[in-house]
Amino acid sequence: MRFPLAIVLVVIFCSVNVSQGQVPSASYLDELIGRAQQSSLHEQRYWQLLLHYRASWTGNYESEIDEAGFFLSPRGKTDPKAELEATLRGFFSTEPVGRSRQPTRCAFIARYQWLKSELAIDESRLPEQRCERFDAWLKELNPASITLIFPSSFINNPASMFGHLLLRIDQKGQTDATRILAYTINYAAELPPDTGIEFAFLGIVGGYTGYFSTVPYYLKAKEYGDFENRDIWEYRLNFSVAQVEQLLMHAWEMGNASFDYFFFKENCAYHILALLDLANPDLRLADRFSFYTLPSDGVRAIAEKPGLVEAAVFRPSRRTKILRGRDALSNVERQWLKKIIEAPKLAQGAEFLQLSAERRAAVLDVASFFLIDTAATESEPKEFDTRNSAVLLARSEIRSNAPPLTYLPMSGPPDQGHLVRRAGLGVGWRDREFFTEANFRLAFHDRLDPEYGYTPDAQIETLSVALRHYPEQRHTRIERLTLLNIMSLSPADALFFKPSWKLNTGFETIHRDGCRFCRVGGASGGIGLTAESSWLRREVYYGFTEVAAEYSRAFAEDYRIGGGVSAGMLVDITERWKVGGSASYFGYGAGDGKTEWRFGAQQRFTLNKDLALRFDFNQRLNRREYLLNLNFYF
Amino acid sequence: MIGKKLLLLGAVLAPLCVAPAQAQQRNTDTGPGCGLGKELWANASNQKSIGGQVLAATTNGTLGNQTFGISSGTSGCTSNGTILSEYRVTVFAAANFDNLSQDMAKGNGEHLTSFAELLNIPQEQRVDFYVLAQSHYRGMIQNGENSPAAMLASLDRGMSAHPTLAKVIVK
Repeated sequence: MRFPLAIVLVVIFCSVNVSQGQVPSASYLDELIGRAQQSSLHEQRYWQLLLHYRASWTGNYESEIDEAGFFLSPRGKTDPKAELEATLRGFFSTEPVGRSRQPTRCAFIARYQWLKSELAIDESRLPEQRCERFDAWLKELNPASITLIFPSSFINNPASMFGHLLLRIDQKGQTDATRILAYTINYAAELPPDTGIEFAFLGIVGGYTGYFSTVPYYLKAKEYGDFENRDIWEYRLNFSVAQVEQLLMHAWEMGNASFDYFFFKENCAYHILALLDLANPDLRLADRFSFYTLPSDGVRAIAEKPGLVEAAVFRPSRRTKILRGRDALSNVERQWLKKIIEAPKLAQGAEFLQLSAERRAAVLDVASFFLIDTAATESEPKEFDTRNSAVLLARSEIRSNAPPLTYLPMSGPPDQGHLVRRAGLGVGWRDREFFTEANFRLAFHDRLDPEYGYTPDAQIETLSVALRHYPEQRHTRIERLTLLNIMSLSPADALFFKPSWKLNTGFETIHRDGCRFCRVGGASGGIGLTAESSWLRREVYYGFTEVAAEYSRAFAEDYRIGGGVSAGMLVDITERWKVGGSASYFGYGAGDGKTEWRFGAQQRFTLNKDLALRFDFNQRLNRREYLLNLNFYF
Repeated sequence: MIGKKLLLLGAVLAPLCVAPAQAQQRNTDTGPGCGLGKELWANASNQKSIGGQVLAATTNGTLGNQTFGISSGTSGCTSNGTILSEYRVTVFAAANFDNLSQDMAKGNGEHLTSFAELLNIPQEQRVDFYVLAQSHYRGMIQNGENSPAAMLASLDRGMSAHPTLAKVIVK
C-alpha cells in the first residue's frame, strides 16, 4: 500500500512542481506578448533597426539579412510581429539558436535588452541565463568609444576612390601609440579564391555573401596603410558609453547574420552606417541611401551630424611617410638616402658618420621605410630585406631620434571634398555657332574638379551626359555620353616609378567632312609617364601612348582602329585657379585611315566647395569649340 | 591585397569592401567573426604572408617559454572572434614584424609601445624595455635568423637577464 501511495505522491508532487515551473511562465509569456501587441512594439523603429527591416514601396517589410538562422520565426524575414513574438518565446528557453549556438537571450542580446526595457520584463520570471561568452568578448574589446575609419583611395587606382569604411572600437586607457591594438568592426563580401572579372557581375547582383568580422586594427592599418599605401582618415565619434554598448550588443548579434552583398548599395558603407544607427537611432544614416552608398558619402553623412565627430585624425600611409620624410631632408641628406638604399654599408662609413646623430637617424628611417616598401612589391624581396636589416643595424647604434615629423596629408579630409554628383549649365560656340548646354555626371571627380579632399591626379568619371541645344538650327541632341573615364597620373620621382594609365569609353559628337553632327562611339586606353614640379604651386606634365577603336557613320567603312600619342600639363596657378592643356595625334591602321590632331585647353575657377566655373576649348580637324560652364556639385 | 587582375578588369567595381581573395572556407566564426582565420591563416603555406610568419613564429618549437605563452595549433581565434589571449603577443609580433623591427632599431615607435603594452610592461619600466629592445637588434640580426620567432627569443633572453625586466616575465 505504502509503495503505490509513495508513487502517487511523487507523481502529484512532480506534476505540481511542473505546473509551478511552466504554467506561470507560459502565462507570463502570454502577458508579455499581449503587452507587446497592445503597444504595437513591432512597429517601433528600434525593432526595425535591430532586424534590419526595410519597408518596400508597397509598405511590406523585409529584412536585409539573408540568413534564416537570424530569425526565430520562420516568417521572421518579412513579419516583424511574428519575429517579435518568437523572440519573446525564445527568452523562455535555453536552447541554443542561430549560427553562434547560444540561448536566445545571449545570441540576440540587443533584442533582449531592448524588449526588457520596453516591456519591463521581470528577469526573475525567466529561466536563469548568463551570457559568459558575450561578457568575455566585451571584456576583451574593453570598449570606450568608436572611431570611423576611412582608407582613402590608393595611388594609381582611381577606382579605389569608392573606398572602404569600417569602425574601430577604441579601448579604455588607449593612447595614440596603442590604438593599433584596438579591434575593428568590418563588413566585407567573402570572395572565393581567384575571383576575376565575374565579380563585376556577381558583386552587383548580390552573388556573394557578406559577413561582419572583428580584426585587430593593426592588421587593417597594415593592409591599407602599408600594403596598399592608402592614407587613412580616422573620425573619432562622440557616443555615450550606453550608445557604444548598444552598438556592440548588436554587433554581437551580427555573429548570427549574413547578407547578400550588393556592390552599389548594401556594401560596407551601408552596413557600417546601419550599425551606427543602432547606437543612436536619431542619426538615420542608412535611411539616406536608396540606390547606392558611396563610402565617402557615408563619411560626409556622419560629419554633417552636429557634434558627432570629435576629431578627424590623419594616419599616413607608408608611401606618405617616405615622401614627406624625404621632403624633410636636405639635398646632401637626400644624396645619402639614395646611396644608402643602394649600399647600406655606407651607413657605417666614416663619411656618413660625420653627420649629426639626429640627421643620420632621419636619413636611415626613410631608407628603411623605402626598403620595406620595395621588398613588399618586388618578386625577389630577399635582397631588400637584407639591405633593410643592414640599415636598421646602423640605426640601432644611434641613440638619438630624428626630429619628429608632422605628416601632412596629400589632400584634405574626404568629408570636405566637393559632393560627388555634378550638374552644369553652359553656353558655347561650335564653329561659330552658338549653343547652350546642360550636363550631368553621376560620379565622381575629374582632373580639373576642385581637388581638396580627393587624391591628387586621379580622375574617375562614371555616367556623364551632356545635352545641347543649337538655337539657329532648332536642334537639340545628346552631345556626349561617357560611361567610364579614368585617368591616373602618378608622378615619377627618384624613389617611386609607376606608369600612369587612362581608359575612356563613351560617345561624342564631331563635325567631319559632310557630316555636321556625327556621333563617334568607342573606347580608348593608354599608358604613360607623369612628372611634377613646383614652380608656381604645383605643375603636372604627362605623356601617353594610346590605342583607340571607334565606330561612326562619318568614317569610311564606319570604323577605325589605331593609336597615337598625347601630352599635356596641369598647372595650379592659385588655390582656386587651375589650367590645363593637351595635344594628341592619332593615326589609324584599320578602317578610316585619316590621321587626326586634337588640341584642348581647360581652366577651372573654384567659387566655393560645390561650385566651380569652367572654360573649355577643343579643336579637332580644324573645327573649334568653346564652352563656358558653371558646375554645381550636389 | 586585391588581385591585380581585378583592379584592371573590374576597375570600378573591384575595390569596394571585399574580403581578401584568399578567404576560402565558409565563415566559421560565431561571434561577429574575427576574420583573423581568414586574414592570417588561409594562406599560411605562403611564407611571405602574415599567416605564414605567424605559423613560423608559433609552431617551430624554438620557443617554449612563459613570456610569450606560445602554443601551436589552432586558428588563434576564440569562437567569439577575438584572438586567444596566449596568441596575442605572437600574432602581433608576426603580423607587424617589419614595423616592429624598425621600432626596435629606433628604440621607440607605435609598434614597440603597443608591443610593450601587450607584454604588460609597467610604465616605469618602459624606458628600460625600449633601450633593451634597441640594443638587442644587433643580436637578433647577427644570429642570422631574421624572423618573428628569433625576435621574440632574443627579447626573451634579454629580458630574463635584465635586473628589473626579468620580474615582468614572472608576472
